[in-house]
Amino acid sequence: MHKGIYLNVLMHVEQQGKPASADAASAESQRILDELARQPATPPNNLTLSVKRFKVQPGPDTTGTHVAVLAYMEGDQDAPQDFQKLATDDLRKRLDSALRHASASGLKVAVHSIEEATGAPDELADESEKA
Amino acid sequence: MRKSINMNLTLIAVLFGASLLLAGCGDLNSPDTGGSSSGGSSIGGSGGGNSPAGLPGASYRQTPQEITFDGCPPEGDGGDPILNQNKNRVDEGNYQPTSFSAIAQLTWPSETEKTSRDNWSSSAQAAIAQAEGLPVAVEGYLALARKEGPESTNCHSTTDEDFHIWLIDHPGGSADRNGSIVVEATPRVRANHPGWTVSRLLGLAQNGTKVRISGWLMFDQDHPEQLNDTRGTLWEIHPIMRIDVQTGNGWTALDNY
Repeated sequence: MHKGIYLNVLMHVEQQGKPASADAASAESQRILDELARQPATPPNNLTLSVKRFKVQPGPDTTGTHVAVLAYMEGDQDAPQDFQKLATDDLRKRLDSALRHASASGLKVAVHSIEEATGAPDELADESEKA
Repeated sequence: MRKSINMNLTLIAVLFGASLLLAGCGDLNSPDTGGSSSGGSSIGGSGGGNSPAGLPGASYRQTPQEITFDGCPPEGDGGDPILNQNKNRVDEGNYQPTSFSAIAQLTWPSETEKTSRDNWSSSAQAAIAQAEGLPVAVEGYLALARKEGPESTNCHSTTDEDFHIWLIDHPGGSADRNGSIVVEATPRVRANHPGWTVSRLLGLAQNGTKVRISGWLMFDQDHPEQLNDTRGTLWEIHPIMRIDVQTGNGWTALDNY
């Protein structure tokens, strides 16, 4: 079965031990996710990633700036198997790999959480209609 | 005389037991208060048994029947398997006329919100079970209809997706969804209703045509963030089993409209 899932990725961005500016945090998160989205799909699940939205928002702590990234993944899997786990684990692995090396910007980026965004299609449609 | 005293003692015991039961339900949320209310649902119903006021009696409840659809089992591929099984039932019921307000005013324990059903307390499970699974038929108007995205209920399929439909109690549009009841047409049921299309549903919304939605009353604990914005309650009709359209001669099935 061809499957899809919306995921909320909460990124934590610091600059020299302080919260990064909203613009810098958003731009760095976007750069990282866009790079991951360009990676080719690999068998057997052929997972692909696209990014739908970036939003700076209050987070669970004050040490960093938090960027909520709404990501969408597609791939192939037997119907009854757990696609949320497959997609979440894959995205976390990709992010861990990308964040292993310090970026040229000097920003320190970490992943706070990745969760399924069950209301995302409605949110996106409502935002689109309001725009 | 002794009989009268015994009856009074029995009445006191029953009232005491009922008060303990309500106290055990904890905070009850409603779309109006967004917080706690003291009483919760009252006991009653038209068909016997214990159901909240204005809803069909418990005797109309029946054992759900589910199917595997395009390889997807009733429990879906993750998420809350009990919730998914409820959403994926396909059996027809004896739908009872139910007012919009009877559903819109139903309460729920706040502890259920965003919490998997296997983590609910027994009192929360009992509170939801009073109304969930009842076959209802509700008249109203459509505010909006959309094809949804992938979700665990449908094994995250990119083709087998629910229709989200917003039912309101007066002719209106998308902006009126804050008081709506979300009613959902699942791919398992739609397989037998080729006339249920988003474009046809949107036409009914735009024309302000009265509809009658029949299906199973179900509680979806996953979307409290939408309350008073794009829905009025977490209670849904899900799945929808019949859609009828008001015509000059009464009601016509949407498939034949």
